[in-house]
Amino acid sequence: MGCYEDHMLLAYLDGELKSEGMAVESHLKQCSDCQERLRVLAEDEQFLEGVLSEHLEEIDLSNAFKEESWIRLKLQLNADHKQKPGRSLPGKSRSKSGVAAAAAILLLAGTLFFGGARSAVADFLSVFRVDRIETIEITTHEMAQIDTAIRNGLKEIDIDNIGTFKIVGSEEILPECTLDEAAEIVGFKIIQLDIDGYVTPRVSVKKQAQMSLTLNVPGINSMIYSLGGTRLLPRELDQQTITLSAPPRVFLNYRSAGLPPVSIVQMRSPKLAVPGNIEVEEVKDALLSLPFWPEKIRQQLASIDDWRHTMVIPTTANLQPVTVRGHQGVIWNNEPEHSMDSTSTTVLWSENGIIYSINGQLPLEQILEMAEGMK
Amino acid sequence: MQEAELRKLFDMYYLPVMRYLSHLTGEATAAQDLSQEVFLKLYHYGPSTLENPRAWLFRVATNLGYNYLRQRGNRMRRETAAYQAEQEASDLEELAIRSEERVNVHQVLESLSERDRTCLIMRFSGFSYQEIAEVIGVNKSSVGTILLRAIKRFRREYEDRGEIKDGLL
Repeated sequence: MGCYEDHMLLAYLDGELKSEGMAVESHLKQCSDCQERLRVLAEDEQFLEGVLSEHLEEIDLSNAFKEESWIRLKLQLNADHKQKPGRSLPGKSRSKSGVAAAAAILLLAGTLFFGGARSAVADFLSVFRVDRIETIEITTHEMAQIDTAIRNGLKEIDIDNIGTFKIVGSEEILPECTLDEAAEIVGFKIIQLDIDGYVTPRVSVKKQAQMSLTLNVPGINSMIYSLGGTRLLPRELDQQTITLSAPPRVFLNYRSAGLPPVSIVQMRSPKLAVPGNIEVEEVKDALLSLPFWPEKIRQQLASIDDWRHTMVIPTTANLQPVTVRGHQGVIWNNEPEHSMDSTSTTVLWSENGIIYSINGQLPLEQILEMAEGMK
Repeated sequence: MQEAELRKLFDMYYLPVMRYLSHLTGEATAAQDLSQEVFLKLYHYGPSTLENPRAWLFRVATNLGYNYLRQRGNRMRRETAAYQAEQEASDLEELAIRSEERVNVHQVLESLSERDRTCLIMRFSGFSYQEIAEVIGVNKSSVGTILLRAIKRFRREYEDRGEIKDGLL
């Protein structure tokens, strides 16, 4: 048998020749010309293999990518079917705490509050401060509703899938210092109560550690999906790190004979650093697409326009919005830990970039009066 | 098609389809959109009993891929010369930036005929000659010849561009 043409040798090389393969093989043993041409072909194929696989290196072909693509496909299928995403809520709910509901709102608030400045130069960190407090109205029934939806949706979700939390450094406490020392550490003028009987507080300062969260977008997206959401977070956010650094806090503890103790906390607004390319609107849309928000709440959340500088606090029966010294704040009652204690009241507000809170076993009006009189 | 069945096929073939379409279009985003469309079509119109789901999926992927490339080609042709000048300028710029890097593989692939390109990409995505023959619509015995020519052309074109690039720098 004579020599083989190149395309036959190629087919042989590719393992495409069945019975004929044997004949080619025995011919190759005695034909140096065919051997040489086979070597060239093998080299050509190797070359292409190398070039083409290099070409694909930049494309994500991981299993995580596949899983996320599956979620996208399912969302599309649901939309095509005109099905309502989400699931029906079971009639009986054992939930009474509303913890998960509050967590969802905090998640929403936190995530939005973590959003970045779109005007920031790419790759530069944008830094901003929280200097507004907004409240949204929510009833206990609505809380329970959200709570159930989240509990049902999150059964199979591992919270670690959201990302990696890290705490950098440790909390330092300066147990006893003067007002001047404290003011120097925190960097602003400390204000005090101006009311009879409440004098010379014990002053302490806490320096907080830094907390960071590195986002795992496929994980967050499967969570959004499990909760019935229809908008996913963009993949570009994957592995981006958000850092929260809490500035030092000053504590003033007033303990005077015959008067209920009062404690005051003062701190600059927490500072968040997020990568400049995080689009806060996309995060907001994704979270608001979750089906469990009662319509009234969705509207309230959607109407907040400056998410970057706003802290959202849900108000319920025992947490009410209030105006303190001309600024938006909230006031609530704390259930006593021991039955002998009486209920305490806390008021929290933000004023010129500083967050203040006052807590004491006093009625609401008196706490507010104390706040108004501070100097 | 039932969702469980879709999921099974998705698990087996999504990444190969994505890989194939990435080669074909040279754009990760387009490949992602098209891959999704392939599986949507499978769900909605896929025959209830698929003897060879792989061949079916890649036939659909090939069609969608080339439709996309044709639309992109038309769109680019409609643009004026200004666009081309801009393109060339940015190509040069890119060349300068990526001086250490490889020749643009996608441009080389695009310089081949549709049939040669499909044949090449399929071969290096692990398809048999029989499957390639089904997709490009030729006899199985012709695949070796087409493939051989495609490999040689690709390599010549790739190396020519490399030389031009080296000459420039």
